Amino acid sequence: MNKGKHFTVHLLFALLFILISLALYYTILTFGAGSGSHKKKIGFILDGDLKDNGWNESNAEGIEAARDNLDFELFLQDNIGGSEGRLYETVRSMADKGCRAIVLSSGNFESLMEKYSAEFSDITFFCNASNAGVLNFVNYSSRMYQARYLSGVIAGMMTESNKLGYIGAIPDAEGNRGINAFALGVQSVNADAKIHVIFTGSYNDSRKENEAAKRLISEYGCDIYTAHTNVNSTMETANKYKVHYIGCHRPTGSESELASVDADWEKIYTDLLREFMKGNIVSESTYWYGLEDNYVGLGFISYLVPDKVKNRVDSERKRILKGMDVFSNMIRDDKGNTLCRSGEIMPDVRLVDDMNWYVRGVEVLDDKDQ
Amino acid sequence: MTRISERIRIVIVWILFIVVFVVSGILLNKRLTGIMQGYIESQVCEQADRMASVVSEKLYRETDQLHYIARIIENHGGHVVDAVSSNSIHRKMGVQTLAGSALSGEALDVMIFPGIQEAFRGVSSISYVKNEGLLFTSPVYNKKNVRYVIYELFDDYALKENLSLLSDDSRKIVITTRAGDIIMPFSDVTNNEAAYFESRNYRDIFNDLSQRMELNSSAAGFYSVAGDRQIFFTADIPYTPFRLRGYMEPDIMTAGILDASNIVIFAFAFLLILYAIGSLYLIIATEKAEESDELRLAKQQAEEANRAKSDFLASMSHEIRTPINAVLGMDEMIIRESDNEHILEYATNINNAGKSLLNLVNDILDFSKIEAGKMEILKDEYKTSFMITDLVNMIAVRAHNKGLEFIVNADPALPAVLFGDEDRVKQCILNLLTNAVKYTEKGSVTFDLNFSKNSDKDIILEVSVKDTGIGIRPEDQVKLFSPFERVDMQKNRNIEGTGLGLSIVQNLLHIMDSKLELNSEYGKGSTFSFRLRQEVADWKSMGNFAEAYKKSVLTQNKYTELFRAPDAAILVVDDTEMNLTVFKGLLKKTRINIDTATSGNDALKMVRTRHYDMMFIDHRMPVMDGIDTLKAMNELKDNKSLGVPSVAFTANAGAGSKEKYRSYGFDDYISKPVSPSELEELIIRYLPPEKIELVDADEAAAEDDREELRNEDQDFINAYQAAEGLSYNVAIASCGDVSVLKDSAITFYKTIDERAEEIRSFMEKGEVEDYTIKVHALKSSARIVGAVDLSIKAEYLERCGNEGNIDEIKKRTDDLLNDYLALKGVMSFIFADYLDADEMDNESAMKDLFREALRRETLMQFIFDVREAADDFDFDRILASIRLIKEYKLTDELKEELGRLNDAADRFDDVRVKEILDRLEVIL
Repeated sequence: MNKGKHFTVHLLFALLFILISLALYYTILTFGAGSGSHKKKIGFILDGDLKDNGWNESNAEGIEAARDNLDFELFLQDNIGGSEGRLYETVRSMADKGCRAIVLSSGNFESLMEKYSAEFSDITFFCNASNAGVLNFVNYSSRMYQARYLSGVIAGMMTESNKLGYIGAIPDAEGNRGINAFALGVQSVNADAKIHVIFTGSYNDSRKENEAAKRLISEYGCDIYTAHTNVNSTMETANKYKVHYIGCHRPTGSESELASVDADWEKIYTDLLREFMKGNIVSESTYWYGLEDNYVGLGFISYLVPDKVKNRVDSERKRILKGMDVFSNMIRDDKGNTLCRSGEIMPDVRLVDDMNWYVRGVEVLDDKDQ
Repeated sequence: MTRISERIRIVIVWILFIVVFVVSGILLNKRLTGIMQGYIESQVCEQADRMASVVSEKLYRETDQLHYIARIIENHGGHVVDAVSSNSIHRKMGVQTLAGSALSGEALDVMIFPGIQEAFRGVSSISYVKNEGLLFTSPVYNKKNVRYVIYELFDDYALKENLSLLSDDSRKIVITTRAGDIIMPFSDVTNNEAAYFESRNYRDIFNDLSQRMELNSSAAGFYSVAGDRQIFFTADIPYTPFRLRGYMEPDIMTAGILDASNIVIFAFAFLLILYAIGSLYLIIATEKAEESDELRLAKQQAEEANRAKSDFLASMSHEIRTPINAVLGMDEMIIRESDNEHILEYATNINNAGKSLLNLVNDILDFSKIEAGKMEILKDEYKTSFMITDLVNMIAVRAHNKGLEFIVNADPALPAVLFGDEDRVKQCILNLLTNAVKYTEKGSVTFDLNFSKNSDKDIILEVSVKDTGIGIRPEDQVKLFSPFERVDMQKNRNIEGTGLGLSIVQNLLHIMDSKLELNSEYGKGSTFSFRLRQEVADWKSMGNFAEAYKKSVLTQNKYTELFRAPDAAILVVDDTEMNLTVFKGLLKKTRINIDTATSGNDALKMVRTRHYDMMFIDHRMPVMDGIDTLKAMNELKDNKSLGVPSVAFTANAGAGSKEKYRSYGFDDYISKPVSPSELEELIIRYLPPEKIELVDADEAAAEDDREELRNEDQDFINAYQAAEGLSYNVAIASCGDVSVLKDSAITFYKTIDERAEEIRSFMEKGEVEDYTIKVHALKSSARIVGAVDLSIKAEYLERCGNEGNIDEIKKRTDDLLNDYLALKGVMSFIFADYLDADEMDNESAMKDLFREALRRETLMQFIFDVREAADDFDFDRILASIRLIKEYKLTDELKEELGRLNDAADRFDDVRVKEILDRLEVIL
């Protein structure tokens, strides 16, 4: 009886002893270790489905790889669409979770979020393909137009009908920049070729995209066309009409695909966010990622493309890298205005702020449905 | 053993704590140093960041200049371009077209100088090209588009000349590209030192720092290079792809901070020491507390053990006393009945030895009682002279036998009657006197008894016992009072005693608020004395006790009735007439007037009519028991015997009986069957002494007409012994002498019908309580007349009655009553028979009968024992019993049977043994 009681008391003391020792040990080890040891939290918001096998998926894969490279905590939300409410809720929730930066990967998000900048003043927003002028908003952009220019070189050299199709989504600076770069690429090798553009009004409308493709082929006689949408949805149509197609974001593996205009989002997000983590990011400015270091490029060139064409692509690439970027030297628009003279180059700021024109030779078609 | 392991345990726990403290101290120190380093590093980082900002600003100042020139070119046209040039080979300046040609100065290769291209994108930039230098570029616009780029290129020399920065001596800083190429050392960095930065060691360190920078704009750390501990740091230069790298002596940063760490370590060590001291103190305190706990526990255990010992001693002593009493009783019988000188001498020796033994046992009993705290002081009035007389009686002979002079100096002025515990006072003095006699070889023992008046109510009794004995050494005087200690063992080893005497005296005196004092000179003698407060009941002087003493010393050696008291009157109350008869018979020779009552109510009537000097009341009586009777008497107004000594009869005497009965108001008790000597002693003690005539021994002997008695009663004895169902020996032992037995037997005989009817009627009515009282009475009266079997049966039924076992009562009562009534016939035969047996040769017949009875009883016991042993298969016991029985004088027939029995036992044949036993029973 007595012995048992003693034993219990001893056990209690031993437990207390161990507990206090552990507490002491833990306190000593963790004391003052609070700063810098926690992972940074970064939010990433996608417009569409992250498994769309297109723009959204390539972005999602890119940010996830960047997360692995930089070791931050990623909060990823897709399928926001154009809903301001959902976007706001998502941003709010990410802010509540402690995100220090939120990447708005869709070009339309910046304009939706700009009015809330004050509410989220301690969060750095990275806005893709935007031209935000708000203190905590940072723009980043791939020089995808450089890759489109190179694809234009292929199209220009390989067209037989001299009629090239372009399925656009929305006629904004980014959209137009792509069209103009493609057109300039085409024209750099084929002065006679015409570029027919149909806007679908959305980055995610495969029906319209396919209709546009059919029209470009059947009505306008395009034998090669390209698209600037989220997903490569028209391969079937291209195959069916036996025309060639230049895709984007990621190669489709389709027979009719001549090349794919891609961006290496892993590289882009890694470099961009590394700068953010170092505290080197300057807000209101735009971070560009182009052909240098292969941030963008033709991720795929079909065997159908002859070496001659490939060589031309390569020399054009080198020319660009040497400083003769797409929007340099003589550029005239479809209205006859000279936008750039020989020996001049459009500074990056114009590529964003001043792109409401089309290169001469580009014909934007009215959407039949509209 | 446990003590040591306990210590080890404590030490282990203590060491464990110290170890934990030291380990956590080391951890704390490490951690603290880490934190301090972290703090220093962050401080260095901040400084590095600031320096990087300064560098950045300085660089952008150059860019601003270019920007300014660019604006001039834009506004004033190409003709200004010519002005943009440099005359230094170290610091080139120029304007370049998109195509790569130089409008002014030297054309730079776009692929080598990416800064040119950046400017064409509209952004002013600073870049470094290894082996070429630091390039500043700025765009020159033509409206919205960039037309030229203006640049300025500093080679290493120019950088040193124009852009060099100065840091304090303590730091060595260089500006590098991200890849680690040195762009420009700070001005106080020597070429040698700058070379260090390019060394493998330093590159490794900075690569490590760069990795740590991943998340921040700067990093710093402590690194050892060639045994030197340095702080290395690096920081991004804002808006440039450059970095600042540097190192410094740690002292500059750590001086004050590590002091703080030292203070913390010192404080911790100080606390550790404090803890060690504190915990040590606590442990010692705890240990002491535990020790005292243990001591308390040990003490408790010791006390328990001691109490157990005392209880054991008490019960043992009690148990031992019983057989001693039996021995003494039997011896007393021998003394009474034998005239043979030798036998008397032996018996007297037995008596003396037995009494010594009894004294020893009583000592132990007293001592154990004191130890167990059960000793109580029971105060009562007592006569001083009697106490002294008793003491003198007890000591004088011993002193005389030893050839010692025994001097008694009792102050005649002592109050005649005192109030206190006479027994205890007497015991104290007696012990001292006994000791004095014991330890004195020659000379004298002096007993002084004086007093001084203390108040109107009490006196201080001054008792002193002085001897001329061996004395006690001063060093032994301390030991003297501890129990079981006997001083001077060598000298005193032949002196008997338990060594408890003085301890008991000491304790008894302590209980009575006194203490024993000793004044002793070794070799010359000792004086023990004490002063005891006693209340006074009667201030009258006691006078000279010597007369009484003289009388009392006469009663020595041989038993005879001690006294006569023809003037005294005694009332005896008992519901059993038999007992009354026995009682009267026992006291016949004392000539005391004895009145009897058979119930409490009768007794109450009697005390109103007459004054009795003493009363004996049976405890267990129907209707009103002894205690109630006494109580009622004390409450009776016209009680003529109020307050006279009363003694209770009890059949259930045990430890504490005296105290028990005293608490009921009795003065004493006596157990049944009544022992004649006890009875006489009681009467002497309690009867008023003036009514007692002490009888001279010779006179008593003369009156002791033994022969006459024998002749007169022999017929009766013979008849009695022959009677079936009656044991003369048992009867005579109970009654003391034949005449008492005769009276008892007649009373028993006369009341058989009445009592049997009572028992039957109580049984039939189911009045168990009354029934039980009746069978209880039958139990003792049957024993008195020697009806042993009947007594046993009655006892059994009494037990049934006490247990309320009515079934058993109903079943057995008839059997009991049959036996009881059968005695009527037997006894009538005795009374008829002994009257006609005058002619018999009494003496020889008695002897034969005595032997016969002895053999018969012993044989019965023998048969019983052997049967039991046979049941147990204990043949050794059977053989031992046979050996014992063979010492008696046996008939040939018996000898023959015993021989067979012996053979059967030898063969372990229990069946045969039992057969022989059955035959023996038939022979009996």
